[in-house]
Amino acid sequence: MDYALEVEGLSKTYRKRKGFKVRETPALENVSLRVRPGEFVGLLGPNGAGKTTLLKILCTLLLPDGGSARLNGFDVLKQSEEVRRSIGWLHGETGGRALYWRLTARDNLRFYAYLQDVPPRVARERIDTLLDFFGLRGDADRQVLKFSTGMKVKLMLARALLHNPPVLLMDEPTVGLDVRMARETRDLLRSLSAELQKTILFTSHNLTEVEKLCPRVAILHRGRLIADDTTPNLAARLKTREIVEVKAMDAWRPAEVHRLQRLPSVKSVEADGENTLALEVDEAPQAILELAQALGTMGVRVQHIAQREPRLEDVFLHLTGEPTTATKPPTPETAPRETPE
Amino acid sequence: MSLAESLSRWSPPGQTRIPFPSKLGAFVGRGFKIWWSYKLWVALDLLGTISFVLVYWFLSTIVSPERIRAAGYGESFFSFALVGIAYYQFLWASVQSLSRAIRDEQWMGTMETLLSGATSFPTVLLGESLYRFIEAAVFLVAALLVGAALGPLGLILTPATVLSALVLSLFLVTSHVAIGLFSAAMVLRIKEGDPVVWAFNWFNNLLSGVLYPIALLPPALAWVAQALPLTYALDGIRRVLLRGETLAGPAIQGDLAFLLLWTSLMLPLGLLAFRQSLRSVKRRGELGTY
Repeated sequence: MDYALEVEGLSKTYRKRKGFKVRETPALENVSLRVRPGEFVGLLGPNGAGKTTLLKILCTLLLPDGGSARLNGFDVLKQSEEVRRSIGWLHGETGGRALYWRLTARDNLRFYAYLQDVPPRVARERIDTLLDFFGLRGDADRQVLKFSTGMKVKLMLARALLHNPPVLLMDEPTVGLDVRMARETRDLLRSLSAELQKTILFTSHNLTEVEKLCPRVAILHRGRLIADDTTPNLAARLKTREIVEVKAMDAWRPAEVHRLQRLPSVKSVEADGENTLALEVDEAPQAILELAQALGTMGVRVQHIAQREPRLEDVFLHLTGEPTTATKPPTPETAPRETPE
Repeated sequence: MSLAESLSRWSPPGQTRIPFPSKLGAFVGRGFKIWWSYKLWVALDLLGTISFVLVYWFLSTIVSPERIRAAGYGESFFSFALVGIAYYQFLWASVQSLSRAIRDEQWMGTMETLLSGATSFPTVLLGESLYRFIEAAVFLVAALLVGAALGPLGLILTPATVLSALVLSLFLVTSHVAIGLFSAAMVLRIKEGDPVVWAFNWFNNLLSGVLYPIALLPPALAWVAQALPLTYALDGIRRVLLRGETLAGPAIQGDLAFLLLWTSLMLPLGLLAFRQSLRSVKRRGELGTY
């Protein structure tokens, strides 16, 4: 088997009837993607890009309109049971709704072990190992409804690993986890890929996390696969463009951002962390001079201004033209109202 | 030992298989644990069984038994009504089991997780309804026991009649599997509001002889009653339990023949409707939505 995941020309359009009209929403358009066994691929895209649609087709929960998909060598349409046996799926479902809240953590895992054909004697040992790793041993016999969001995510992760599947479909696995657990989960996924050759398809809105974790990134935008390459190669696409980062002492006001956008050397402006803007410019040295002058005129207290290498986030913004929730520029409605001195 | 090291020692998926009955057992165990976790629900279920028997016992004290005797179903209205109602409750719970299970999984958000496992969809469906079927059967027996505690029911219980009643109960449920499938197909697509179960409840309550013999119905309605499988199932079960007839009797064989014919005609249609509905929600991406 050359590929653990082989998607060829996959298409999906949602159709909703409203009276006599049928509204069509294309979710995937001719998407092709090949992933080798053991590869760790980040799947990125703005909301509504088609990520969840793709994952649900791979889980055999959704039927495509066209194209084909094979997972671990099995066809998702013709060999759906073998496909489901091969995957560990973590929902993008927030709040751990995909668990039986009235059952204990152990009962949830035990029931799922039956569904995945893990015999009770084997399941008992695996459940203890997983509960230990995720720090849930002490809460194993408590009802899930008493769990925090983070604990529910850990339990869902444990469930995804219980049958030791070769392919992991991880839809935002670190959302809701505390910093330490998120790091340990990332380390676990990294070692599962590197040491055990697990194939991982990973979605996250945290681009820094994807950049650190995934050697390869595929970007979906409006149902189309617009990029699929290694992270350095993707960043190299922006080599012709230069990024200047400006960090202010106070929050940016919308009027200030608009004024920077109008400067001749500035192509675009995006929020890039706390009080920080990333500006795409033609020539960084020239732009920095122009920016320093403009910022002085506006009375903005600057903490730091410098050129930096393009990052995955810049590539993402450049290709999709849409900020992620973490990188939306301030708007008059959302921007803080502090006034610079 | 790290988790990755532990995982490296675990066998890959597909090397072992859980036997089919054990999987069904897992669903039954899960259903019972969830039911048991709602203490008030448990109490109301138990009280409900006692209270509905009490209502029909009270009714029997004021209804003349002559008409029951004339219809050939023994001497007591209470026995007649209790058998009818207890079996109807049993059937009602069984018919709804599949659609209720689907609705519960949709509400809890567990539907997609359940169907992303290695267990086939037919096994999941059977497992889902089995717990509720067992629960309904337990309450059927409990209702008959509570009824017996209130006074002599006059049930004729010999090995032959018990066996006959079990066979008829099995035919009763299988003849209604199609209705359950139609109902589940509806719930998959339209989520809330199930016209199949509504119609089933309305027609059967009125026409199937649950509370009164169908001989008392006007001729046109009696003709419609003859087309409902519950009419035949209740007729057979009452003949067995209240008159001591067995499977060897021609009337019981006639009832069984109708139920068999109904099942063989309706079951393929029910399966087809469910398959179409499942395909449709999988196309629309609405499998787990509520």
